[in-house]
Amino acid sequence: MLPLISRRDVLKACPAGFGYLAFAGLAGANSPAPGSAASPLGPKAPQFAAKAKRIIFLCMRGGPSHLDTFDYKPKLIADAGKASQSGDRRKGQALLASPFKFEPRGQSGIHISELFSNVAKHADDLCLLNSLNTNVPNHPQSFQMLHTGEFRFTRPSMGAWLLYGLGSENQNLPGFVTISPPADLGGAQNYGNAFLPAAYQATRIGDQGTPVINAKVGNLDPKHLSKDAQRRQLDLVQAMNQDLLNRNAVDPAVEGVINSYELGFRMQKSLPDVLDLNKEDSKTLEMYGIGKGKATDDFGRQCLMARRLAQAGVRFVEVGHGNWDTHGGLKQRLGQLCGQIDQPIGALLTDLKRTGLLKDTLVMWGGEFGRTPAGQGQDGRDHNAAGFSMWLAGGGVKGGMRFGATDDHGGKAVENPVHHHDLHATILHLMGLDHQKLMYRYGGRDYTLTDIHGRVVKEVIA
Amino acid sequence: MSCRLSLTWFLATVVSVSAADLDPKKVAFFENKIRPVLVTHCYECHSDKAAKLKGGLLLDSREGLLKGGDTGPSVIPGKPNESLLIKSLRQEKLKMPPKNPLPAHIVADFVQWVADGAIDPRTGGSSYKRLSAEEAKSFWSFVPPKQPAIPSLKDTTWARTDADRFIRAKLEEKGLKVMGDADRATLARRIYFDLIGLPPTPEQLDAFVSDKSAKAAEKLVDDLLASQQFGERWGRHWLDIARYGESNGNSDNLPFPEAWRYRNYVIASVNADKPYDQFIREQVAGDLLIPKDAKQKDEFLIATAFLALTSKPRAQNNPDYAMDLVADQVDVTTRAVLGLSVLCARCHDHKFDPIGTKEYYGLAGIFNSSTMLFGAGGKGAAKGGKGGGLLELSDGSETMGLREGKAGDIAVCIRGDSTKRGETVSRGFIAAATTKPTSPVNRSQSGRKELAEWLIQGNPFVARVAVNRIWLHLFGKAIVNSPDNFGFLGERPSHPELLDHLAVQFVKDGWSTKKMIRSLVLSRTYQMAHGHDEASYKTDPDNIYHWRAAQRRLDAEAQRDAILSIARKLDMKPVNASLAGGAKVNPKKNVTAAPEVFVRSVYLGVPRGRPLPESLAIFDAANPNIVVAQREETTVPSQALFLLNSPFVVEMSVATAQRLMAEAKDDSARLDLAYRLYYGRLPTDDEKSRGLKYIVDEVSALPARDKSPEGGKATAWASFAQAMIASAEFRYVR
Repeated sequence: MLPLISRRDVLKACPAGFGYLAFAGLAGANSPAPGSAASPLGPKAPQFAAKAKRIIFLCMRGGPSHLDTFDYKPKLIADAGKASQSGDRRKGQALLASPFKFEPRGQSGIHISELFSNVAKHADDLCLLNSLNTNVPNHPQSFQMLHTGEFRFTRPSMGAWLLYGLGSENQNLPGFVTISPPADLGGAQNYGNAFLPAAYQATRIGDQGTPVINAKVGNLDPKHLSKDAQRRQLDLVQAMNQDLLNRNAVDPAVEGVINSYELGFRMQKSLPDVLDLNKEDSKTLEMYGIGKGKATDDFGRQCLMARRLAQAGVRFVEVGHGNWDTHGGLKQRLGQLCGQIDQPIGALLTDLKRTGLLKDTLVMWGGEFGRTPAGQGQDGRDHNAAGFSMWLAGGGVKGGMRFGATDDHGGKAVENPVHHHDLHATILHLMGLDHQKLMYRYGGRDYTLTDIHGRVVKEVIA
Repeated sequence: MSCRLSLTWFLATVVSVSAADLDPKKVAFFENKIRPVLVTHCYECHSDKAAKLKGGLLLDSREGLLKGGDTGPSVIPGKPNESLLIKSLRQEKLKMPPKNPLPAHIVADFVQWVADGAIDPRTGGSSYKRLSAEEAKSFWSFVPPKQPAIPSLKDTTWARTDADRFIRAKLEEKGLKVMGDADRATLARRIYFDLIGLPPTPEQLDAFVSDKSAKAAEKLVDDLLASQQFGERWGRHWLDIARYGESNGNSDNLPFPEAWRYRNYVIASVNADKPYDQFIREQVAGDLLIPKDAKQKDEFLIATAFLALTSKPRAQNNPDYAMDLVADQVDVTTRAVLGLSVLCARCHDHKFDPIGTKEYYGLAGIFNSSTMLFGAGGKGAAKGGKGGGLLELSDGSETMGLREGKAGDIAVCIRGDSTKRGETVSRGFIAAATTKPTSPVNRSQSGRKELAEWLIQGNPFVARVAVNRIWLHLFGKAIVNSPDNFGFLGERPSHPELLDHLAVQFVKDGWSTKKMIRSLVLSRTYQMAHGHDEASYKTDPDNIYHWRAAQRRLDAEAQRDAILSIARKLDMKPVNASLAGGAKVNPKKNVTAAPEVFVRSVYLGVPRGRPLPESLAIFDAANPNIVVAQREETTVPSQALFLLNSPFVVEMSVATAQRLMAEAKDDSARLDLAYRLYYGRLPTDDEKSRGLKYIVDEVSALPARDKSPEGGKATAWASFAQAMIASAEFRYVR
């Protein structure tokens, strides 16, 4: 079991670990810091053997309709127009059949909508979770619940928890990266550290609504000095720091500062390199749908960045997309949204498989909740937290399966329900962490990601 | 670790009933007929070993049996027909065990056992045991502070104050050698940053260093305590605790355009040295106090914004909304004033401290009897939540705050669920933490007025918690190293007698924060040097016993304000507005990130859920969603990158270079000035030659087109100034 580590212990340990690195000479670009178990971001052993080492979360903001994508409900078509019996909202109103066709896919024959024909090519790697449910059919609450396991109070994001539990595999890159997150629905809290040390918060790349090609990661670009001039300046800074260290004889804090400059300077080079898609060949760019004017360009870039970050050892990468809040214009908007992401996600899965990364990279797709089987008007669906779908792939989960089920019309999870808390427990388990034992003490209480809830959905683990 | 060991020890020694006192026949009946059934049919869900405890009921100890679970006591000895356990076994009430009802003869055994007094020899057992009210009486933080004897010392010349004597006594006891006094320039820099969060100017530095009078330090401290900047720094310490933020944060992120009035109230209160007890009284019950004039009435109303500033969940689809708001009020009040975490008792009895759900709902009832006014920022208000609106001030402007609502007690929410209610609890305070009786709740009002008096006078925590925080901000390490947790799981004081001495002194001095700070800053302990001593370092590497002055990182605000002021870019004027939403806050629109404006950091906007200006956020500024009694101090690469590359630091470096060019006649003088500005000292000879060489090299490395003598110089000096900003010596105080 992970011992109870207090915030102070972590921080106390931090400079010591850094200091060792600083004076041991700088290690190779990707090697973990020696003795780094004591540093907040150094890699730490999981609590038990892990199936997955890293996560790519494709986060669909707005509540994507499960009924038109991954939860095939023949009865919904048969009973269209009848009064809806389930779902958080619009009970008693007319059921709306999906305007999209579902087909059995792959060897497993699981049904996936025509909207995801590229993703469907990986059907045998997908584990569809058809019985997701959460507490509140409102965007902000459920989005925060999905990210932090709590919607009333500020709690650390699941990425921050993972970084706290496992550290980072690459000391030259941030361990937790979020690409194009929404600025609303709780904003920075969804990728924040809350009461965990600040070292565990995400590095943000861009904003939802701004094409990622225009996104800048802060403070990586020394515009005011040439490369050489900056190195000379940094040497001066380090000489000043070394003077102070010599005067103080022993000083872990100053050692920490010295090392943070070397790490920062290397990150300044590494991160733009990792995010530079020009390093990829044209075939790869094409596969992801990257190209000026293409509908897939933006999300394709995000997915390729995610693959490059994962490959470089980043622990948790979240990729944001929206807005899936299809109260109206369902048919046209779903076509458009899926058209933006289907090819890139298909490419991501292909690419991860090709590079052998899929084995220990968990890919998750989904949003904060789903939609109602009853129509909202003739061409829309309302919020539904009582039953919806997400899917997992790679990272030690079984492929080609559907787990759990909603009722005949898809309104409510009735078989093997999986709550957001259960999803969290399962993710932590796949990463080698016990959700009841990954604890942090704050304000006199031990906190976990799942609080008193959460069940590991062992049935989906390979 | 020692904490966990002592916990085990503690639990092992808590044994309430001795088996020897019980009727052996009845014990045998329990052992033969009752215990086996409990073990076989009940423990799976109702014991310490249960994978998931059901209904909060523990049947593996006598205590658990009598106390019962969420729905109340399970057994009333002697009264089988009234005992929930029997009703459940008879399948009348909760129907237990859920799947297979027990045969009639076993149920009859239970009836007989309860009728005979429910004799139960079991002791210990469950680890759900906590400090009882009785046991709490001897736990250190529940014992009221008493003036301890001032220790007599081997060395009678060192100590200047009584605080020094407590520190010195411990050092002598541990065999640690004290460090010598800090030099005057180092001391000046330390005092300026600690008291006003700004570095001394070269002129101020010279004035202090050349003032040879014995009263020089006293004079400096008095001057700084009297300055506006003092409140701007020490007010921020309280704003951390008050989880000060300027927007709703959680869901619909609407601004609190009037929150700044509370911020400025805190700054003004600190500057006025408002007695701490009155400061608390105003924030908890300002609207119920009798003001002497309209101005004071405004102040009292603004103070109650303390209880309205929380980030609010959306009311829609959330039956717990009202209770969520109340939970924040209970949490912030108890942690801010008492250093006790009471919030866990919202759902279950506190696991370690003697605080039960009943006490939580006693406090919650007080806040629930008040109305929270937070303006349009609580969009939830329009959707069925309570609140909305503002309080009107004498000049027609408005403030967030509290007013009395419908007075009444509330029922326990079982497991925190507002839709499942238990017994109604009388409004009141925390019994186990009460060491001096104060007035009970006035039943016709909310009870906040009486709560305020209890918070100030009725408990042993308030003064200790306050002085512990003052100590933390001056010495870098608190006496109780868990400043927001004085409970069983908190740390124990490193100097318990010193803490009590300070607490008693604080109250005696009329709860004056300034007097306390003055006395501590003038102590010998505070004025020591930060040096190295091999032997002391080996014995006490964390400097728990204060054998030297601590080296402390400048906090985010002090670092930012110092960078700005040295660059001559800091606008020192207080701000009477909110800067959270840009130039003008629109109360109907979600907040955006707070802009970087060159005012003192305390006045920058604090929109929740949006990034604070990087100059603060990256350096561990307080998260406005949570109560922060002690900030983190992380050292991470993003800080290095900010200092090397951010437009903010680059702009300030360029501005500083202009100042150096303008105010000093040559490079040697510029170098002296730069060291005095950033480090508060002159460069050594080595530093001087290294610095001058750097300037020459940088000028010659510049491309030819930039080589006008002026332009080249300024660029090189900007690069040098930035290096000084980035260096550890600037970023730390010692």
